[in-house]
Amino acid sequence: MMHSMLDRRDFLRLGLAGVSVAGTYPLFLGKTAAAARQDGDPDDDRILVVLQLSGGNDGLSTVVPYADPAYGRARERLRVAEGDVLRIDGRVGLHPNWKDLKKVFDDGRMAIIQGVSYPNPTRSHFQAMDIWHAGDRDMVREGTGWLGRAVDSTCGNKPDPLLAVNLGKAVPRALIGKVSQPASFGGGGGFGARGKRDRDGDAGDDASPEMKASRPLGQIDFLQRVAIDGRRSAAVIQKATQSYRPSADYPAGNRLAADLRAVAGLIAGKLPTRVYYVSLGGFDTHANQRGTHDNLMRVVSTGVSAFLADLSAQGLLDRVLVLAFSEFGRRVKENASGGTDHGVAAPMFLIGGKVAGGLHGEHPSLTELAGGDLAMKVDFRQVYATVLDGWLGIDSGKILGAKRDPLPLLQGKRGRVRAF
Amino acid sequence: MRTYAAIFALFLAAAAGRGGLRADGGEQPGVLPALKPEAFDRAAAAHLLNRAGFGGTPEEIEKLHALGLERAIENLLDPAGTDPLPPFQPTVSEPLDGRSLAGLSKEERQKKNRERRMADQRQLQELRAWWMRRMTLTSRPLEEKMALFWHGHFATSQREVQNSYHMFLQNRTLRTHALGSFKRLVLEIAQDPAMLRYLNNNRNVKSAPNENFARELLELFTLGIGNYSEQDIKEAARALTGWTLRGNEFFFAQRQHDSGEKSFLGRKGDFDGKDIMDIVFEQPAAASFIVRKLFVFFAHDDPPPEAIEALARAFRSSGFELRPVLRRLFTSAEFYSARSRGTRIKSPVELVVGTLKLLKIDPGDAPACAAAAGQMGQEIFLPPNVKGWEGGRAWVSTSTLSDRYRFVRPLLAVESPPGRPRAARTGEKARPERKPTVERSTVQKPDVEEPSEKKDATEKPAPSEDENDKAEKKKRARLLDGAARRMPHWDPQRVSQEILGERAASLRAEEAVERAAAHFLVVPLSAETRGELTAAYGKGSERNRLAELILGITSTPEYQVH
Repeated sequence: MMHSMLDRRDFLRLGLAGVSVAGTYPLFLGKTAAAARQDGDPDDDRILVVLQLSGGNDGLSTVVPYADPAYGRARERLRVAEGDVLRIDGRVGLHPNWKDLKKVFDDGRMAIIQGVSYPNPTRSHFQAMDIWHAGDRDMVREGTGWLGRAVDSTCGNKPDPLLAVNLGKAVPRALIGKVSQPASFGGGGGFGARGKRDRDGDAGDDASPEMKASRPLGQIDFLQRVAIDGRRSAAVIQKATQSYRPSADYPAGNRLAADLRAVAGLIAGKLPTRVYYVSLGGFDTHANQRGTHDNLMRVVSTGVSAFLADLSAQGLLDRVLVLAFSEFGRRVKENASGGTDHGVAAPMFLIGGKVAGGLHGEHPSLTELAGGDLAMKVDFRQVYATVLDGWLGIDSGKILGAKRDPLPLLQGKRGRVRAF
Repeated sequence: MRTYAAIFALFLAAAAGRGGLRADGGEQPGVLPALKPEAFDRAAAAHLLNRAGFGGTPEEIEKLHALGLERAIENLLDPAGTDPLPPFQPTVSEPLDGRSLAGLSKEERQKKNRERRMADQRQLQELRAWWMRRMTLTSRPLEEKMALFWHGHFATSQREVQNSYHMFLQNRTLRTHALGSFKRLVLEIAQDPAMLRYLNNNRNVKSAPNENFARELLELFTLGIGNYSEQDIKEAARALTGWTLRGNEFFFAQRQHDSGEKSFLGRKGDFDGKDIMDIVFEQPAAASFIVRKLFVFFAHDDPPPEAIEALARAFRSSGFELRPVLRRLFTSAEFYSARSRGTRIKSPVELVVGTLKLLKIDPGDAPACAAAAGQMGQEIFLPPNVKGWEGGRAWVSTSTLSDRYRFVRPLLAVESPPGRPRAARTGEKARPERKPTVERSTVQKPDVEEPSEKKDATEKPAPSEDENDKAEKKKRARLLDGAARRMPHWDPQRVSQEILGERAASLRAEEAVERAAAHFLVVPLSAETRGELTAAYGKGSERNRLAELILGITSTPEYQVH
């Protein structure tokens, strides 16, 4: 009785009585998770950081097909000037504000997968996000997410809530499993933010939908469970982030950078976490795209590259894989409001120390469109499968409901990306 | 032809409306059976008040119960008299136009724009505080609850609109039509300045149609996915071209309107926006979509198909008037069923407003209450996206649950332990002379919240959160004047009277806990928590044991549901 009283009062004093709560933190849970992995297994310490760009990132302004005349014709007002593009080859280049990430690319640490989508795409933010989170259109109704199911598969009946950590208030469906639920903290730069909130750095709200999963637990049980998870995770997370001194400079006033800094702190703090989920919103640029998107590109580039530099300086980069995606790209032809409407195929990015860097796949044609949109070249489920099998060491067939051919996106895996 | 149909529909609605328990529009009562009047006990009345309003004290519940089921519902649907609360008085409304900026230097113009932005932000804070107060004190709770529902349904955010006056106008529109004609409401929203800007229909022109509003009109506002095609969206967008705003009003720009023939949901014609809406309402989905959303919002998230069918039929036959549907819903046995009781997780606004009501606190114009709800994930006038708030378990994460447990503390002005800034950004501390200080007991009781004497390195607050709090406080201080910084506070005597009764001092711990549980909860308190609270109350000092008890009860899973 005394034990639980202590728990509850200490939970109310979140962050204060770190010692007492940490004392009740069931260390055995962390050990159980470790025991589930074999000793000396190279996948043991691998971490996935998912970066969700919410709203539909304009792929054409990110990986720019500058040399294609059709590009200039379609994007009269919005085009990125050929002189400004950071060239990769004679056909495509990166957005000018991706200077830092261009260096990452040149160092061979970024894989750009072009033309990613899925069959019968939807242009609804919410449906599309559900599909990306669920990992498959057919799994949407089921209520769980691809990473939630992945965590389920590694930890039996007693999932450690720290195996997946979400930086944000609401829980993204991607992390919800039949059994497991992630720990959620901070987000939006509110956790480990440095300096005052810079309005320019405020890239807009997170447009990602969070689905409530259908669960067998009654409401009270569910709430109890979250409360217990919270109590246990909070102290550990607070401790790890409080004492963290990063080995790189993170840009001030950048909410994404602040979130990634917190992630770096948790990684350095040796948490058992294998999946981190970070979101950045504001990409739904129906109007006045130039200013907004340019700014978002800067936020992403400076934030992610600082994160990588930080990890690299601590010798952690080889253990981390960043997966960046958006729920769809945008239409080829700009609209009359200086923006673009919802589209389909767009690039996906894998960044990290063990990535098979470079351009993968083909850039979709700007003239042979599918309903006015870029045609799909690669199915995102293949990228998921690659990450699950090749990086996390989890059987993707079970998670995604079907076996998918992996792509040679990680070092040590051979083969070519065959475009669709 | 349409007018006759409208008049007939009105007649039907009126006739059905007088029926109360009688099924509307000639429905078979068996499909969605009504609750037996004698089953409308205190618990049922509490349930009704919690769902159809923002809850209330046992006294308020008893008043509703005494009316009986039928009259209680009429009282909610059509409250007598006007609300004594004053309407919001906007001070910033006229846009900064070319004339007021003419002849000024660049710096002066920038300064004026900055001032305008700040004034606008200040007005939004005032609007948020005004609405929270209204929800707390109104004598028309269902109207406010519906306004909140519509705000989440026709979600529009100041972040994009950048005009607090327009947000005020939209809020007023939502309230005016909250319980009336849904058809009318949809039209009003399509012509609402804030919405026109939020979903870019103000840029929807013949030469380059912008589909944003048309898409969400069909997907989120009226029909739902699967009941229209991408082509329908395009055609609807064409029909809505030229619907824009001028200053603070809707304006139809004839020259920007595409008056060509459109093909929409199987119909052909040179449709304009109104025509599109008429066609939308001819679709079967138009009735079931909204009705389902209402059911999930008010009752539970697993509606029986027959219930939705019955409610949809009532909705359609009443000409899409909301009162008959709500009457049917609140009268139904399903609404009071076990599946519906104590199974809904309160939204942050409901949690905050409900708590203010139970503690008989008038939030005044303090921005702290809206801020508290925002901290928990529901910032009014700033929904995360056009889909509004997901609701249900999406309100609860390890992060928000901790905020939900802790937000009552500042209302009770319980001293935070030293070295730690105000828990959650729920506002500034109450001024010392008003705050009933909590006795700093030196007894080492882990169950009483008190400043710890231990020198513990981990007690230092995370420096980043400190900076954040400081930045937030500075920002708020800049925007608000002294009066608005007041923290609403409770009247301990009054609340003690309300919860514990006259003989509060002599109550046994078990009784005190029982009364508090009856006051705050709709589900039974777990034995474990009951034991903890009883022990704590028995050992606490008279001065702060009620505050501790309230804090204890409101930081439970049981308090999160209603």
